[in-house]
Amino acid sequence: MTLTQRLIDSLWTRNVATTQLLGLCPLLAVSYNVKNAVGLAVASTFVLVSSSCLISLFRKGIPENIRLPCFVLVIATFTTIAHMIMQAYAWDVYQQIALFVQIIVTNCMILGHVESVASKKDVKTSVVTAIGTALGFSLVLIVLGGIRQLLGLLTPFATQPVGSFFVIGIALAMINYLKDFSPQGRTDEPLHAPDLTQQNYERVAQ
Amino acid sequence: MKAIATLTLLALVAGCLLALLQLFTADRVEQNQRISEEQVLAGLVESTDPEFLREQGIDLVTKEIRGYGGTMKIVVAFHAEEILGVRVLSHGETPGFSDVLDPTGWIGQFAQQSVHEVDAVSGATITTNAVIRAVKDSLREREDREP
Repeated sequence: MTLTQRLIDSLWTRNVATTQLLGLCPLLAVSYNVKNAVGLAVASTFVLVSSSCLISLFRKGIPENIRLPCFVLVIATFTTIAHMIMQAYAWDVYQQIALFVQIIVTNCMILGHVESVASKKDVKTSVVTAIGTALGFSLVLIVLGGIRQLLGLLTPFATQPVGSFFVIGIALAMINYLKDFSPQGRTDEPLHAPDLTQQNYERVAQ
Repeated sequence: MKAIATLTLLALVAGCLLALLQLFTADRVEQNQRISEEQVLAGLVESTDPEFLREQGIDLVTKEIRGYGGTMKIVVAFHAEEILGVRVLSHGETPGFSDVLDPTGWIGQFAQQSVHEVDAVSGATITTNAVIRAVKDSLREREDREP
């Protein structure tokens, strides 16, 4: 897969937010203006890329049975780092989205990526796919933030929490409608489908 | 055994890293907090300079009280026997429910009426009761101080 293909894949065909619908909670809650959306996008990207890199680096040293606690510990550490840096250098944004930066820990986009890619593939692959996934998420977050901020000028409804369900619902419907006409078509399967070969079944069963 | 060792080591490294970062950012964070506290108080008093406050006869009482999501830092401004207003310096309340703490909202009532007439808000009962309790505490504290 070339780099361009991979980029199209993570931004459009298998976008983590619009296709896999991962990380919806921060997406719904924070996308009411561009500034907050950018803040959360940067924080999520940082956490996703650095934890993928680190876990991929030490994937052979992490025992199979305690991999989830290890992943969560690493993700939580990076989230706290992002939280502290924001608190020190981006106070304005921090006051608005502090809570949503903290819950990056539970963002299933990140744990999903770490579990399905970083813990199995080499560092380069996991970092590249992590950057792609993060870009896809950031794009959706920022574009929706822009849409809602603009609609908010017409009607305050769009910036309210209820409005986010409507705006995002309609946006997802439109994206899926458009996908029917794009050459790639619709893809529901994630980028790295679980490897369910016989060997893997046995490993899971043990 | 290997599992325990790995987790312990990982937790240790993570803890040390965060403690180190905390050392570097603590000063700036504190500075940011001070600035935003001053901004919050700007709507209430013209200056937080102790000299100025004494001249004007304004007394600021700071109370820390447990809210729904951790400690809230509340300031009650007194002018003689009257409450000028109540502001929240920092809190960890759930977004949306913390709207009652906005100076234009519920918390603005303290400037107009006696604390005994202010009711808690259903839906944000714990938050609003905590603020009422803090105001009552600060009133009592002043009474004790001025016999």
